[in-house]
Parts: sequence; structure tokens; C-alpha cells
Amino acid sequence: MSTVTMQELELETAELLPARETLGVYCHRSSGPSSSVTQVGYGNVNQNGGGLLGNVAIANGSFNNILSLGSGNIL
Amino acid sequence: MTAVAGHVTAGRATPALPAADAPGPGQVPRLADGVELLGEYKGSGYAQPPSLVRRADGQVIQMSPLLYRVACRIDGSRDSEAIAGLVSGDLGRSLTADQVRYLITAKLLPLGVAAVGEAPAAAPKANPLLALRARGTLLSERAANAAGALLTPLFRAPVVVAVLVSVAAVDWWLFAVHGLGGGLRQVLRDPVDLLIVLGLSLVSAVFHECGHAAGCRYGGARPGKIGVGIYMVWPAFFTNVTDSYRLSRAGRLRTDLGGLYFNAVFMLALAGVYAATSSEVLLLVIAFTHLEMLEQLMPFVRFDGYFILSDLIGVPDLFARVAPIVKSALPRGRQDPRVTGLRRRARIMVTTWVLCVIPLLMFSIGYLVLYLPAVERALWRSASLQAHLMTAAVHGHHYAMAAVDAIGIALVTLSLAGSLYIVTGLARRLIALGRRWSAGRPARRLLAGAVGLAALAGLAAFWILQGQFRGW
Repeated sequence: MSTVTMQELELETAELLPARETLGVYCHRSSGPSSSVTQVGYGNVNQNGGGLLGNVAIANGSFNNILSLGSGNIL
Repeated sequence: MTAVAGHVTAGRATPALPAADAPGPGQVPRLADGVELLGEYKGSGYAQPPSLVRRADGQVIQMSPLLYRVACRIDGSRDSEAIAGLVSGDLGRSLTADQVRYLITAKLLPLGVAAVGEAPAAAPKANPLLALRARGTLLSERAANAAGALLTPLFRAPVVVAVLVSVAAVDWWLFAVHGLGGGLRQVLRDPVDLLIVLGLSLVSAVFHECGHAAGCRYGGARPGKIGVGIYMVWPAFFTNVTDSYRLSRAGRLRTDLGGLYFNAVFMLALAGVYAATSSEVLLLVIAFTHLEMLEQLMPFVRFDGYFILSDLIGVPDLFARVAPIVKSALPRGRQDPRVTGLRRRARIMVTTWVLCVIPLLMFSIGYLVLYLPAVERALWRSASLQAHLMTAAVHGHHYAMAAVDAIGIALVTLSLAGSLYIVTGLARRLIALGRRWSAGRPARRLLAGAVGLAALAGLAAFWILQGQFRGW
């Protein structure tokens, strides 16, 4: 019978597996488009430059989406 | 990040435990309390399928076949000599008592699988990079199992076919015939409808998680709790289905796809309610759910798509393969058994995935680091604007709109905090890496410190030149 070598033993591996936690991330898209839609739709509630505020909100919503898109692909 | 015990590369000795903890010639090793031997990992992408062991604390450990055979022969009454004899018979090759002691000392003891005498077993836990944080429980393990058991009939084949065919019909009617204009107009007219959309999305999210639990139960495994946490910068629901590691590939895939399937069931239910009420906003929720489902299929973060891909390839932890794949590709890079042991097809798929993940990771983190002040400024402005609008809405007694703005503020604040958390976490890991690289070598430590300071100075200069601190 052949003998198991030390080199073979050194290659034996045991690995801690991460917990299987299926994730459901929600609302990060909603925080962008829906809030910008909200600002555009309801910007006239603020009678002082509601339209301008709405445009700023759309831009800010886009920044949030960029953050989501960029960092959404991180581990 | 998974810990690998006893993995050795050429020229580097495995660090063994101090002699005091090693089983002596007469000492009898035992399995740590509560350790369960789960058998072979089915549908593996490895040429020699690994086996699984679960500790009492729920930590699952994947180990190579020889190591598993040794663990199987540990019963608290056999010494190393007896174990060696039995394992030699199993293998058809000779294994000595000293070799068994080595395996126990260097591999099984450090992972808390085996114990010697009264000494408590070490119990390291996996700490994956950028894992879910700040966990809270929504449904306890018992409740999740009860919910899962109740919903398992939805996985019967005729039901699945009926659901999928019905959803396809609804989708065709919604997108090709009816359209979403009515729903959008309704939401813009009345902020209460936007709250309804958000609320139903939340219910859909919880039902999605119940789908994973039910899929896990249907396959014969036991789901853990369903909860909420923070994943990177977003609030996330999660279901602990660690026990599904023991299932066949088909069982694991059913667990993975269970969430998306339950999204389909939910959409069908909404379509039914629409048929009764003609509330267009429900159709908007169906459309958003499609987007959420598509997003879930992304395989580069720990969403459903990641686990689906992992189970299709037969490698349980893809992220743990990034470093070994990169190192093995370098000139004079060491060959890691976690890579060399893969079947050819699996190795190609994992390597392809790694080649996609690395640039995405570098782009995402690089973008975030380079534009951190600008991103935070934009988020702060967004939160301030929404706070301003919320105040105006409250003064105008438009409480539904104020509630929508409040939710927006909360989510933006979370993004703000989460992005800072990611960057500081990255900085901590880089510092730890530098410390490890320069441990005991003053010249290296000086170099690491100098490089770190230069990088910080360069970053600060970039931020200032870009005007990222202006306009807060």
C-alpha cells in the first residue's frame, strides 16, 4: 500500500464558508427616481421656485443613482 | 473573507498549534460539541468533491476528502493510531498516526471541528468582505420555518407552471397592450399612491424572502431567520439559508430562485387585485417588481444572481476565489488548491467571473474614493432639499407627501453613512495589509507609511483641485 506524503497532507484544505444570506435590497432605486418624480410633481407645493427645486432634485436623484450604480457592483 | 486552515504553499510550513494543544500519542481527540458531518457537497465544481461539516454555532466548513475522512473517524474513543488504521483502510493508502495528529492539530483543531481533552475548541467564524451589517430579526427561525412550510405547496410543479404562464400573460398585457401611463399619472396626482407603491414594494420584499425560506424547506433543509440589515449602503432584507449547503445542486438552485419565483406570485396577486379594483397604481408596482427582479440577478454582489451562479458552477464561495485566481495568474504566482482543484469548466467560469468582478470593483471603489466629497455633498444637498420640502409639506398639511420625503431623507442618509463606512473599511483593510506586509521589517514599515501618506496627500490634492469641498 502506498503512503500518503506530507506534501499531500499540506495541500489538504478546510475553508470557512460564509453564511448563505440571500439578500433583497430595495428602495435604493426608489430613493432616486421616485423622490425626483415627487419633487417634479409636487414642486409647486413650495410656491417659491418649486420648478427650480424640482430640477435640482432630479440632479441630486441622478447623483444618488450614480452612487447606487457605482457602489452597487461592489462586493 | 474565509479563513483557510492549514493551506500550505511550496516552501511555507503550516503553522501548527503549540505542543500543549496537540493530541499526544495516548490522547484521544474528539469532535467538538455539536459538530455535524453533512457529507459531500453535491454538484461540486471540484475534481475531488469536498465535504461539509457544521459546527454548533452554525458555521459551515468545507473540507477536502481526506480531512473529512479523518473527522469521520474521530469518535472520542479512538486515538490517532486507531484513526490512522481506519482511514488507511478507507483510502487504500497508508496514513501514519503522526500524520493524523498533524491533520488534527494543523487543520481540525484551529477550525473548532475537533477538540482534545477539556480544552474548548477554537471557533473562528467566516467574515466575508463587505457582508451584511447591523442585522435585525424580522421573523425568528421558528417563524421563518413555519412560514416556509406553509408556502411549500407553491413549489409543486403544476403550480409553478401555472404561475409562470400566468405571469407571462400578465406581462404581455401590461407592457404590450395596457401600458403604465395610468399608474404614473395616478402617482403624480396623489402622493398617497406613492406611499402605497413603497408599501407594496416592502411587502413584496418580505414575500421574496419567504420564497427563499419556502424553497429551502421544500428541498429538505431548514431555513434560519428572516431579517433586515445594511448591505453596503442600502437597507436589505435577508434570509439565512445556510442549511441549504447540504442540499443537492437542484435544491440549492430552488432555494436561490425561490425569491424571484415568489416575486412572480406576488405580481400575479397584484394583477388579481387590479382586476377587482382597477387601481392603476398596482400595475406600477408590478413594473417596479420586474426591475427589482432583474437587479436581483446581478452576480457581482451577494444578490440572488451571485448564489445562482455559485451553485451552477458548484463553488460555494466565489469571492474567496478572487485572490487565489489573481495570485495564480501572476508570474511565479503560487498555485492555490482552491483554484487548481477545480474542474476545467468550473475554473474557466470562475476565472471569467473574477475577470469581470475585478474591474467593476476597481471602478466602483475608485470612483467612490476619488469623488467621495462630491458624492457626500450631493447626498447632503438632496437630504437638505427633501427636508425643506418635507417641512413645507407639513406646513401645508400634505402629510402623505411629507412621509414620502421623510423616507427619501432616511434612504439618502443611509447612502451617506454607508459610503463613508465603505471607504473607512477599505482604509482599515489597507492599513492592516500594510502592517502584515511590514511586520518585523522597519524598512518596509517606513516604505508602507510613506506610500500611505503620499496617497492621502495626492487624494486630498485631487479633491481640492476638483473643488469638491466647495458649496457645502
